[in-house]
Amino acid sequence: MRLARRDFLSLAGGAIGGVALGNVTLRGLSRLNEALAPESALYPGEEKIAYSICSMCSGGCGLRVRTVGGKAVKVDGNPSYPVNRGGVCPRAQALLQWVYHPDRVLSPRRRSKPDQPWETISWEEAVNTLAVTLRRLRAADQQNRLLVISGRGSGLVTQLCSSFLSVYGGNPLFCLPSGMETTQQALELMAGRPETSEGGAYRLAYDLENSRYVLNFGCDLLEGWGTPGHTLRLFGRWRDSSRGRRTTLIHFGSRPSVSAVRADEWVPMEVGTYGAAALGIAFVLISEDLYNREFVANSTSGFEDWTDAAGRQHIGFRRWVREEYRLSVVSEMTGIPSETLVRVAREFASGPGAVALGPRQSPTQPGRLSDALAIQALNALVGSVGAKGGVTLVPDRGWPLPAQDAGGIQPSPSLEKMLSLLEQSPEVLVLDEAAWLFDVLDTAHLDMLRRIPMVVTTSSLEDATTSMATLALPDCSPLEKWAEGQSPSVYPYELLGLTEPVLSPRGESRPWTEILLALAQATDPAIAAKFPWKDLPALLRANADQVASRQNGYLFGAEVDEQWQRLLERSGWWGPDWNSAEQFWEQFRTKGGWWDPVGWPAEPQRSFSTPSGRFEFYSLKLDELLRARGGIRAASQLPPDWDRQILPHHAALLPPTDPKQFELVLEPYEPLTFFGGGMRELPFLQQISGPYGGPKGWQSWIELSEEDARHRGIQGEDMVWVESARGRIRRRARVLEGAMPGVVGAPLGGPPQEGRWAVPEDSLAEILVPISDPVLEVRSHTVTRVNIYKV
Amino acid sequence: MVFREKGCAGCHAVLGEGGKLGPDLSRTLSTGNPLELAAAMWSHAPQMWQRMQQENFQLPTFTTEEMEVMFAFLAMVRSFDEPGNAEAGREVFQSKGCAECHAIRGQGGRVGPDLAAVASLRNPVAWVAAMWNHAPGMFRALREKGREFPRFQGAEMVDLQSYIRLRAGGLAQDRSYLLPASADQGAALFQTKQCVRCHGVGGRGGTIGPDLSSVVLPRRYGEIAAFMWNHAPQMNRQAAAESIPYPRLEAQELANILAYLNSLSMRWVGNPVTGATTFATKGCAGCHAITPGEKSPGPNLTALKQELTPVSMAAIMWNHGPRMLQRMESSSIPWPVFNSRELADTITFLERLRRRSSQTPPSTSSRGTP
Repeated sequence: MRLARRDFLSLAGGAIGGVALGNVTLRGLSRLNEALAPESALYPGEEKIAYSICSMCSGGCGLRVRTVGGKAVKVDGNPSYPVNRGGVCPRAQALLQWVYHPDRVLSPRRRSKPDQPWETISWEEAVNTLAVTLRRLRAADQQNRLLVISGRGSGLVTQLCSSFLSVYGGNPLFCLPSGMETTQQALELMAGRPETSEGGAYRLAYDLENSRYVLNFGCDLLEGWGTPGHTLRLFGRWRDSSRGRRTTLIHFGSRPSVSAVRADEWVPMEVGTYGAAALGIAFVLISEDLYNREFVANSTSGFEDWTDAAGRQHIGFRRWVREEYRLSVVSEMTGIPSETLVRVAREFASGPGAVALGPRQSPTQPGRLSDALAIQALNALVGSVGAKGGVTLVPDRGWPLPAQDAGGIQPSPSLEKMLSLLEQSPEVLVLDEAAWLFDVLDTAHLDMLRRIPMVVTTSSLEDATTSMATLALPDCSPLEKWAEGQSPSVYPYELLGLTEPVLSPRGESRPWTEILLALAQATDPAIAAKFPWKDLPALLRANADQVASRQNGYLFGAEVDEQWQRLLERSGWWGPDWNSAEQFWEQFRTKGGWWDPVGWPAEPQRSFSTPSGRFEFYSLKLDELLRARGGIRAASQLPPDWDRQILPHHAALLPPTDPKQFELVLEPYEPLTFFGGGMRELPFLQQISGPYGGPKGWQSWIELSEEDARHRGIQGEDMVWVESARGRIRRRARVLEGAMPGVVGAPLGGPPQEGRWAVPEDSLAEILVPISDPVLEVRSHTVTRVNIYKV
Repeated sequence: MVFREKGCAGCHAVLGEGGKLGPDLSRTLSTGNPLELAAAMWSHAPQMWQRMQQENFQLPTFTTEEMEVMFAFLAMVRSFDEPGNAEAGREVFQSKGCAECHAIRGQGGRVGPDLAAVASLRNPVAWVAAMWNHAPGMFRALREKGREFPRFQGAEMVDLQSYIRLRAGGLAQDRSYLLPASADQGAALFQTKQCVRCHGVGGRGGTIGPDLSSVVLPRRYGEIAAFMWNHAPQMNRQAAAESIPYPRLEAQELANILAYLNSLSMRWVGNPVTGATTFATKGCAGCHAITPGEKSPGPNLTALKQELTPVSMAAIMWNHGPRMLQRMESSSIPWPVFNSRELADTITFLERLRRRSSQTPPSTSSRGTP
């Protein structure tokens, strides 16, 4: 290790690739590494550099891996991978601890019940064990008794799995939410879906590289939002004076998160009032005539009062905001001084490239639709929808194969739908990288999972999913298999990444993709016919041939290549860097991927596929949806305050619990180390999980303000009870200087619950009261009223 | 890559991207002819060197190959069309009467196709090809409506394209491009599409239309395409009169033909006799001997090993120039400024001398005519 060069930086610095020491010495870490490696820490042999793609989260950053004597010894970022251009977050740095973890599951195994010992079996037996059951269910027309839950992001594996389930029986694949679903839904309602000749999936995209002014409503930008490697790099560029301009970041939120304290300004506010704050800013833009008149006049509808085809009058957004969201009212709701709202609004509207993000957009708390509508209304007021530096929805073509039918089943991020299927007595549950469930489900729901007769896990580590499984089909680590990536969350460009395995698989572990292909062959010839590829390289090659034929995009290269490619495409030319499918395949693998560096930011979109053809402050699709849901057929049946439900508005977040009984509001969040669930088993990540100094031992904690602590006689590191209407759990207290009184921060994740370093503790999910969005009927928040007192 | 690696981009932008210390090299008046570029570089060099010194930029050196690649890059970017202005395009769409026949997303006329269907075409050449092939139908429709044939000036075609993409919204997301054009393939198409039956090149070919080697064409592809479009009715009439079928052109074919036409402006001719005079009047003879074996303060120019072309001249000047300038300034000799005509003549003159002295047979790649 080149210790002399190492610069250990704290996570609070927002640095990429740093490690906070906490109470662990360098010597201690060194011993830890040696303990993790089965052989000597000195690896004689040839040094090589290889490339891979991270799958520690759904971001999929490009990696550069140094190996010595066939062992991986260091992971850094790949400078040629467009998403992260050489930077990686601490999770990727900890990847080697996954590869060489002493609790790796290295062979398939089976047991009759979770409390029985495991029996090691062959892969053929393992696949057949599952295939036999799936075949039986299919023959009995009970395909719906198979439930698959995944924690992977979008990518070929997810696409293959989803396709398999679709063909098998029209089953949806339940996957970890990206956190963007609510915002995506809001933008779809107001701006419409992107239309292309291919139809299919789409996703949210921000052009933050060109943003001048960012209003962030609660998103943990520096703690895993979107694609960590990309976002962290962008954050650095925002502050890069050599660019000639600095991007301003204003963070609205109730906690002094890493993202809040590193922003240019943290605007503390009451929990659950993002929508109100956004509408307060809208009030200033409208009252002071600062909004983008050209965009609003030519490309939006519903701004002024209007009359529909049935003759019913509707209040326009302008009058709605001016009457309902006056500054004094908003200030009262949010706790934000009026002067702050005015100043921020004026700065926001002072030029192009202003964008509003939020609300929250975290996998476990994607936010409410009403807040999201208000925030997108802000983007419309400054003309940033579909414009450079702004936000839009883009087609998400992904990998061409397996082909997704336009009407096919899309992966579902809805926890509620998944829980409702548990009521239908599934017989088989497959947990694919699904440790995130243990952050969001309480004991009662987890017990429902445990009662399923066959629980299959693909986890490569002993984790919470292996503890309840009866069949283990251990996947490889990312370095031991073909790694594939695609356009990650909120990334503005279309991208497909591909690298060859860096290492041979440890033990008998096998890539889940290969197992799926084998399962397709073993389950039913009709299914096998839809998946004709004999192995993963064959599937990847077939994909590559399709991409090569698309006639756009480029293979990965240096940033100077990117600039030239953009110049070419801007003028209507495409200078391909391959001449044949064979050449494309060769370079696709060696250069690490293909992408299209010219996307929507190059030209503004001013036409929207909504019923009106415009951006709709009053969403006609939402109107139609709510009418259908309410059984309303005629305008005369509409209640007088109908418009209030459709227009962007603020709604009270917390359920009606007596605030005198539970005085504090607990706001869960996901630290970077555990964002999206999983990875608790890695010592490096446990050591840096607390940004405010290292933890004493691997324990979860809660954060409260000095005032709240003093009032309760609590000092830092005291053990406390955290009690809600559902029960209570123990946590260690952290007292944060500058934190808002009345708000308690609680990180999700925590110490490993299985394996040799298990530290059993109560799950936060036991006391959280999930809040569902009334329109989308999915979980939007887990903010909960609590009391805290010393143990 | 050379343009970036040598640091040129630190001072000079192309298409608006890059440094601001010097002019944007895609937007100056030059056509991209290597002679013009070399002359501009030569004349401008002392200012560049002085500025680079002030900014503490390291002075790069170039091999001839690197200079050739960079010249090709600069010639290419000058031919690129700038992104259009959708607002201006709206004006074009209305003033040319396009909406009478064409809808965009269903709003507009129904005589011709809905233009949202072609919103994915990113290159103005592709647009013009689509319009060109469509023209015979348009002629009929315009006659029936009593409308004048729409002609386009300057960037109007590009602006119109930009407006239609804006209105087409998501339908413009499926982008289609053209491959970089090939002048060689264009030369072949010029024959096979029978363009040569009407238009001669360098005195060879038809005389019905102008000789295209002597016509000053716009340098941007979109503008050349619009130029061609404007002549479509006349060409159509002449073609019919000569029983020449109206040529249908795929977008890539049109691009290649335009590349060929563009390349005609890259040719140059120099006069060695005038070059000799220029060599003397510019004061070059004061430092550089041109008689084999003769000594001089500067190198004897007959001893140069490499062929003299605008590209090699630019490389030699750039690499050698700072020392030249220093010696000239110390002797109070002003830096000689060349226009492209003078440089062409001088290069031709010197190349003839060089070849005579080395008795090297003329290279087939030489563009100059001794």
